[in-house]
Amino acid sequence: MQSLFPSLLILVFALWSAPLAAQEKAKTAERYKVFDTYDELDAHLGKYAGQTLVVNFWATYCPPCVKEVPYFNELQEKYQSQNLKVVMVNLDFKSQLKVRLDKFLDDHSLNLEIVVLADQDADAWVPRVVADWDGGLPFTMVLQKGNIKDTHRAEFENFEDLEKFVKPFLGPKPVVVAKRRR
Amino acid sequence: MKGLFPLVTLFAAGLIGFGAISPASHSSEKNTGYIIGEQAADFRLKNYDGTYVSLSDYKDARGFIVVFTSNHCPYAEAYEDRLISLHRKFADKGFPLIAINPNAPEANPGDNAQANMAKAKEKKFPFPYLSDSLQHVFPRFGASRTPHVFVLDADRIVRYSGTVDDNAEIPSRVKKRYVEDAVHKLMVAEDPMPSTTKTVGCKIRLVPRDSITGKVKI
Repeated sequence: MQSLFPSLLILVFALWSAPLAAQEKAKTAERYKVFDTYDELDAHLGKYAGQTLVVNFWATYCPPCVKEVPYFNELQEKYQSQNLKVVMVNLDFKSQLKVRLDKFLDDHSLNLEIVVLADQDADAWVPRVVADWDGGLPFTMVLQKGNIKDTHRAEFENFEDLEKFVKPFLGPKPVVVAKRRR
Repeated sequence: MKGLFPLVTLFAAGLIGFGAISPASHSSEKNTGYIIGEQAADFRLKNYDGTYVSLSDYKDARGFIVVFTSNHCPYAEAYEDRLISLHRKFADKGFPLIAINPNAPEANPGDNAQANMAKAKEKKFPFPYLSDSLQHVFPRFGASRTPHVFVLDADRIVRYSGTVDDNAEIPSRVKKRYVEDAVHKLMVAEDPMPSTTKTVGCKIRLVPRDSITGKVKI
């Protein structure tokens, strides 16, 4: 019995730590997708054609971008039930994701879909987003059925400013059915 | 895959104009800078070493590579070595590179005179690194972010405006060397093609001003 104890201890530790390690791995793996080409991003955004889609282009080195990220988080939370999808397209360098984006996500509790666009040929992809966009960040657009409905080429002053921009394109509020009393 | 932006494609092709169906925009980026073919005014700005530099100081110049850049923007940093290479390649051929930091030190202390000097010395810039801290010069060029390159000819006519090349992050994967190509074209008296490219970088940090009085806020 005495000789069994250490191995039991190891077993218990292994059982306890393995799922934790797996959880930790899953957490980082799911934090964001990285798209190397604009085509991949385009295809990904196409999946949300059935929703009101808000896309924000940002980077951690852009102070006004960083300031407005929480507004988008609030927007997603508040209007989730009205068929709203927010996708934050991050433009940090792929080689700096660990020191920049990961650190940012460590410091902010966000419930937002974040994707990284690592396509370096800005002159080719920027005009594909909107023909007359000059690539300046932050940049926000709202789409329905894949069509751009509106664009905003500056930061939002506050959450209300962003809300006002998106509201005209939101779906109806879900009808709340009161529970019958028995 | 159904294209995501059919409307935009039509828009780009010029099939529909600024009508009711074109995407509305709330633009804060009114670019009133030089257009291609317009002559740039000379300027006199302070270099990191305390001297003053003007384009007219370069008596034998056949043109200039004017670059608005900054100290800590990842895009600007990614291009530092390539700016040095451009200067080494073209200065002797009559096209010196002149770097200008347009950021307001009041908005970003990392772009003050001391930081500019530290950057220039650390990277051993072989070209001047001027400060446009009063922000009189970059608006004339219509620069909006760093880095942003303007290639001028001997008469200070703006012939190219945009990015350095097509891969900021990985120099070994560059396929299109816009600035280099533009200078080569000017050397044989031809028009750069393309004459403009889109740039991604860091927005130029403006002097903070009081929205009512217009006075500089420090």
